[in-house]
Amino acid sequence: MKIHLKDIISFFTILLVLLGTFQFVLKTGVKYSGDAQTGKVNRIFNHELTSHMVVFGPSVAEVGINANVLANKLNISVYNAAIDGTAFGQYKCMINELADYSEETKYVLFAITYFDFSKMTKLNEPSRFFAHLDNDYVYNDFKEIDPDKIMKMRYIPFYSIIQYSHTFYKNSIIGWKSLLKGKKSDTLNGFVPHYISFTNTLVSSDTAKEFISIDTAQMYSFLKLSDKLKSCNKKVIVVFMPMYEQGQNHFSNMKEIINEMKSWVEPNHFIDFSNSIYCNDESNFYNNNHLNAKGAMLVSEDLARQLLERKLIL
Amino acid sequence: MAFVPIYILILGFTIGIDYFAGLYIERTEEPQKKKLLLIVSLLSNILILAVFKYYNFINESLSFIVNFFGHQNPIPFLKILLPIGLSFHTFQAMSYTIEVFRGNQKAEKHFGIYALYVMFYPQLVAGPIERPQNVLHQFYERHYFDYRRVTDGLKLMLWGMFKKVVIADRLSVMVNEVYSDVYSYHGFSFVLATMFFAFQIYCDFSGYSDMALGSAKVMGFKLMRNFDVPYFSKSIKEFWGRWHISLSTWFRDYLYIPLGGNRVEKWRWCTNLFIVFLASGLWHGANWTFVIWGALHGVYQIVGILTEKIRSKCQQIFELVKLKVIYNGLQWLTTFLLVCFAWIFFRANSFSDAWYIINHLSFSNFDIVRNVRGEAFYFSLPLWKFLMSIGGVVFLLIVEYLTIYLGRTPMFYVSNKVVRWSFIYVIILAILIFGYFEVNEFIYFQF
Repeated sequence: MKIHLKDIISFFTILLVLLGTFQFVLKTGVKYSGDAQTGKVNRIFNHELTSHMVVFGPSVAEVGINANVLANKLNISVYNAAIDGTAFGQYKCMINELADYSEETKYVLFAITYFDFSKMTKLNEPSRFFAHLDNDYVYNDFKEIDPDKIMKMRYIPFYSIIQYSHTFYKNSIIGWKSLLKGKKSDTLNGFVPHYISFTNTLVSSDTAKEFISIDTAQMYSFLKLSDKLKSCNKKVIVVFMPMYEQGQNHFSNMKEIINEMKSWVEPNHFIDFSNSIYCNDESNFYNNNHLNAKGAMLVSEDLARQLLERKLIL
Repeated sequence: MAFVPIYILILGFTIGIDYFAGLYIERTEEPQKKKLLLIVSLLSNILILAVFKYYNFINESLSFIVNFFGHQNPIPFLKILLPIGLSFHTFQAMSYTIEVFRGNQKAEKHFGIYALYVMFYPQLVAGPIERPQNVLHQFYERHYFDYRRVTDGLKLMLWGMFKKVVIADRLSVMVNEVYSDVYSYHGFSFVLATMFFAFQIYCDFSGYSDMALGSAKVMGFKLMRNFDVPYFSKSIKEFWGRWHISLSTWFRDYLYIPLGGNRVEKWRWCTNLFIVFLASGLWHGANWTFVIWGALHGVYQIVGILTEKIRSKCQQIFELVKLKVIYNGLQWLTTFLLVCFAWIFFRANSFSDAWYIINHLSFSNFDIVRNVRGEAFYFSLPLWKFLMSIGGVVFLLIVEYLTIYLGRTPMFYVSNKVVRWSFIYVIILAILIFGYFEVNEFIYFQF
């Protein structure tokens, strides 16, 4: 039995060391990845992002706000930190962290669409954030959306490994390469242009209009975050991104939703592109919700003009 | 899956009936009375199975016939859930009373021990369907801690877990994608999805069996082996000797042999086989697709018997014995394809779906869907995930091939400790990294 006890202890010690090392190596790699969306998350949680203006939002912001155009027109540094598939409930942790550390950032621009303040029932591609799950903002925000998974990930040893996706492993490799060879710079500053023409993603038989709902808890959370940003000397600007008109018609209460969102934002700080001329021209979009590279260029130029006109940029 | 506490009473009822039936069968001297007691016990088990599993199925079939003649079926449908593992523990309970009746097993005096025989947790919900001679005496034995036995059991559980979460559940994503929407897929997609299902159901069920056998072993109990590398079979007969062995032998011992087995005229022999496989199909599920699946296997066996002489003659004429590798390969391939063909009925959601698939099977037209960004998806999965699933199957086949020669799963029994432990660590890591951890029940839980 004594021999067996030695075997049992050795077996489990090696296993623990193996799994611990594996997890540490993976997480360390991911933390240093500058690739795509994980790179954006890392820039903020590693306190590397110091641009004057930082753009947050879902995919409509990621593909629709050309950071370099804004930077040139406004004469400030701009970074597009928008992450596709996320809503406010998931990306607000990044803004909280930014508010805490960055003194250089003076403008926080929310480039939103109809679902940003809807209730989130599922985390989207959470593995982009998993390397920073020990950060309280990430942990608390994610716990609100998926408490079971997130608590297990934090408190059950090695449970996280079964949650890591292909993107996580890929980013770990990229991160280790960056550590050894140096990080590649992101010349587009977070903007992801799509050089493709319009495809109608709505099913023609689907004529029933969809009803959008806003989660009041998310709006209060937004209000709280806005106050925090203001107290940190950061201006909050909200932009409702353009949607192709037939996409807007798919919803029964689009106007009401926009007005509701507007009512939570400081007057003059809400810019609405839902009625703009860009929404009538399909050559500006690659589907009903998303601007293509040409549309993004036009909208970013117009946005810069409006920001200056409204004297939101000093 | 739902937990309905009241269903415990069903189990309690059958346990009670069979326990007392066993005692009285043993005590009674009169053969007629013994028979009557056996019939009461078997009928009570079959009745419960019939109500919960087959009532709605029979009623639905009846409705179809009645509607065909322009009438309405007045018999109402039951809104009940099928208790998990009902077919398994019912068959296990039936084997007890039959064996007591035959005099092969003494009636169990201790009610708790008998209840444990029916409800022994490792194999309660999905088998193996045990025999009283194999299990009951083990409940009286003392089980000491044996390091080797415990670690062997844990290794078996680990291997079962690997088969379930790394191979079966990964394959299920693709199989479900095709079989839940057959009209969106074509030709080769059906061939591939069906082959994937063959491995999915094997890894799902044998994975469960490994975990059941392993956990029993850890506690010192030996359960019967349920699978023996079935996809390396060279005939359908051999396949059934290697697939779900506990059920095949149950039907052999309690239905096929009592019907006369093969010691009767050829037509009777074939009829017996057909009846057994129809029953096996029906045991799996109350749906015509399962009945057809069973019938197909029955037909395969009958054709095998009827063509046996012709095939041996062909073997002699063409001197196929000299081309052993090619001949064996052809036998293996034919068996595998026939089994896969039958799986179409087993997996399809309806007969019309199965028929559609069969009519559109081909080795061309593989569906690759591209998203707006032009990325290719194979059965809803990106290429790397698709290849990973195939990699899992290849790994399984290599391990099973080695198992045939070594007599047991090779990687866990290497004498060198470093190599053995390394294999175990690799399997643990593979489960954590490649495992599919969305909720995915075992397929055989529904039976």
